[in-house]
Amino acid sequence: MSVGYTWVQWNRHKRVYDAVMVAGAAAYIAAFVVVSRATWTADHALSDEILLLRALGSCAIVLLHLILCIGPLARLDARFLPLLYNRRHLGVMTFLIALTHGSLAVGYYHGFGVLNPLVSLLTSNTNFLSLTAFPFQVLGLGALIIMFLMAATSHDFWLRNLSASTWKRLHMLVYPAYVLLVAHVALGALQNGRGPSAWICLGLGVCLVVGLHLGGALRELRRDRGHPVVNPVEDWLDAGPAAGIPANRARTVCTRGGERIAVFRHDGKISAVTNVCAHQGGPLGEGKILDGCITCPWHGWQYRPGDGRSPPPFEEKITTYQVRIIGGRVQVNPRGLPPGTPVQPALCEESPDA
Amino acid sequence: MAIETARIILFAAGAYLTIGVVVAAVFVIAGVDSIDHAAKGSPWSFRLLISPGAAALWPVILRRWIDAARKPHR
Amino acid sequence: MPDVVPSKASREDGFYVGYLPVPGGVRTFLKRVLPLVVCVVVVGALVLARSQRDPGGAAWDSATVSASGRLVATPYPALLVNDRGDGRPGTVLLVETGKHGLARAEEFHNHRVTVSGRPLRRDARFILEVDPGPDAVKSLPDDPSRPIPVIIPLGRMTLRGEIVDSKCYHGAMKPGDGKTHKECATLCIAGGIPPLFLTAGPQGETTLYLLADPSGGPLSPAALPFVGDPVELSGEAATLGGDLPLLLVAPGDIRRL
Ligand code: HEM
Ligand code: HEM
Ligand code: FES
Repeated sequence: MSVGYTWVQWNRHKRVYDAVMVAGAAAYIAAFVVVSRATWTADHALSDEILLLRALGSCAIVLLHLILCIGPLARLDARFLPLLYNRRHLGVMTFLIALTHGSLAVGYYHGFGVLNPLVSLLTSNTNFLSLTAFPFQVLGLGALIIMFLMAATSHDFWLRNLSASTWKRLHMLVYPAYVLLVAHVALGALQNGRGPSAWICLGLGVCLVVGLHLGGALRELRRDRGHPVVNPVEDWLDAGPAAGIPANRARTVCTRGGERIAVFRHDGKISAVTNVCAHQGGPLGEGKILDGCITCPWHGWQYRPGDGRSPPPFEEKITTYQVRIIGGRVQVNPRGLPPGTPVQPALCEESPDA
Repeated sequence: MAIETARIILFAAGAYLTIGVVVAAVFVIAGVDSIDHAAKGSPWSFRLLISPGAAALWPVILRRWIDAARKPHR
Repeated sequence: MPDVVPSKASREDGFYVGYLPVPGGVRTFLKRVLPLVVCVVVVGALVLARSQRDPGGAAWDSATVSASGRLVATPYPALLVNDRGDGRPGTVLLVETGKHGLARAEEFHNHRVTVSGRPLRRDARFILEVDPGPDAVKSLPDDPSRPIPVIIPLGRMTLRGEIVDSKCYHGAMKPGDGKTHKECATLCIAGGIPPLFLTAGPQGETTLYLLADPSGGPLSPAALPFVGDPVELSGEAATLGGDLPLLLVAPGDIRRL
């Protein structure tokens, strides 16, 4: 819903979000440095550069775990949605911290020598078949490149100009990046005489990320199954009793092809639109009608239920679907109409929003 | 990896990014408005913010830019 | 969309929209959860920081010192000193700044010299990062009949341990050994920094050997892939005088464990 781009559309919520996230990262790095300095003193003190690059690398991976957990958490409990709202800033900060870590590592471990540091990075260790001598740095480099692409294309300009599907594919690369980073740590720092506590931390982190994603996926699957196609008259989908949809809210149904449709009830009328927000694909069916418009739960983009268009001056359009009510049950034509097509809402028989 | 292979890869990456930086610089100043009307009159902070991405994805940018020049009504 | 009027409906059932005031229920929830998240993150920092290992006791002094003795250029530049501090002869390895071996050693081979530089100390041993500039290595008056030091073999042995570079190990980096230091050590040794073999004796005490090729020259570059890994190697122990024994190893006699 951009009428003209700015670099960040600031609002109070984003400021608070960014302040908390920067303070949290600073607290992490400070705690790491202070504890290390207090533990190994005098001749046993760690080099400044090594201490800093360890603090930054581990901070980045802790933040990455947070980023990865926010999606499924918001799916499982809507009260986490405010954390999702500004996830892109969290992502960009994580990238910048990881970039500093990687630059320090390349400069310090691969600099000052007879080779260009980047040549050294790629050539100094070629034991790709060994688990104990693996060149773990290259894994970090791969992840850093992915994080760069995500951070560099995080502005809505890219969402619009790369096409939503390309952009989404780019973001799904966060999972390969995560795998690379788990390997980066397991094949690198954790084999450097780290105690069991570091292995336990990594294990807990992986379990948390995998567990939450499985939980979120199961919840989604169950929701889709909850509305089976019981009455496919002329291939129209049954979307359950009209009276069961709360006022200004939606019920999400799933076509055989796996597309989700959000069926909204507003002013005693029923309208159906795609569940996929034109912005970043947020779940419109978990949104709400505010001021007469379907409002996305992720970043609050709005669409009129009657024609799937954003209110002026915005120009976004989403797919709409034909609806009708037969015997008190909503039916949806699963063949989507071109985005922005006006559709006659179906009228509920009982009093509006009783 | 042999040192020569690494040098070739880094040279290629450097060349790619050098072209990218040039394309991005011209694009954010003069081209972005023609591929996305929402960018008309946008501030320099926005243009700076999309520059790293434009430098990295310059083939995509260039293609969209050429398309937009061919179909000016878009 | 900052100009949207905050809608009463949005607050009734806790529906959150970023550009509107946060509904009360969600606000309370976040006020409870966010401090918890920050606490978990900070505890994570403490645990991860404490899980690091002791890098060993070593220090890199900023003050310049000088040492006098006989300079040998092969297999690696070193100063053989008569008194290492306790009246016994000692070996002081010499390196340049950065990850470079001493490039000026050749012209002083078998000369008595005074060398000034910054010492890197670990346990009872130190090495010198020779100051840049022509005055850092100075020839001293000498007895010209003194024989050139030769390598004297002491017998074959097989040992387990790690190949490290002498500069980082002595305190240029802490830690200067182990898995994450492997690539740095490789670069150092490729640049001419003397390689050491670090091995634990029966009582756990560490023993150091200066690694060299069986020809008497520097360690073969073919040994570089084994740097920093746990390895077993066999070779000829030898001495050149001083207190740092040599281990003459062919790359084929090194095996990763
Ligand atoms: C060019 C890219 C990278 C390089 C060359 C690199 C290199 C390294 C090196 C050498 C270490 C070992 C440090 C030590 O123990 O002294 C390390 C540790 C680590 N790296 Fe990276 N890294 C890169 C990218 C990343 C990225 C993108 C992340 C995460 C987002 C990351 C996370 C970590 C973590 C968590 C550690 C362990 C830190 C600790 O010891 O507590 N690295 N990295
Ligand atoms: C380095 C930066 C970033 C990282 C590490 C990151 C991480 C992630 C993760 C973990 C997911 C999957 C979440 C899920 O579906 O449960 C994801 C997808 C997504 N990311 Fe990012 N992100 C980054 C930058 C951004 C930015 C800048 C934006 C905003 C423009 C953003 C918005 C999204 C959205 C909307 C999705 C959902 C895609 C979908 O499932 O349909 N992320 N990203
Ligand atoms: S996904 Fe951002 S508003 Fe819908």
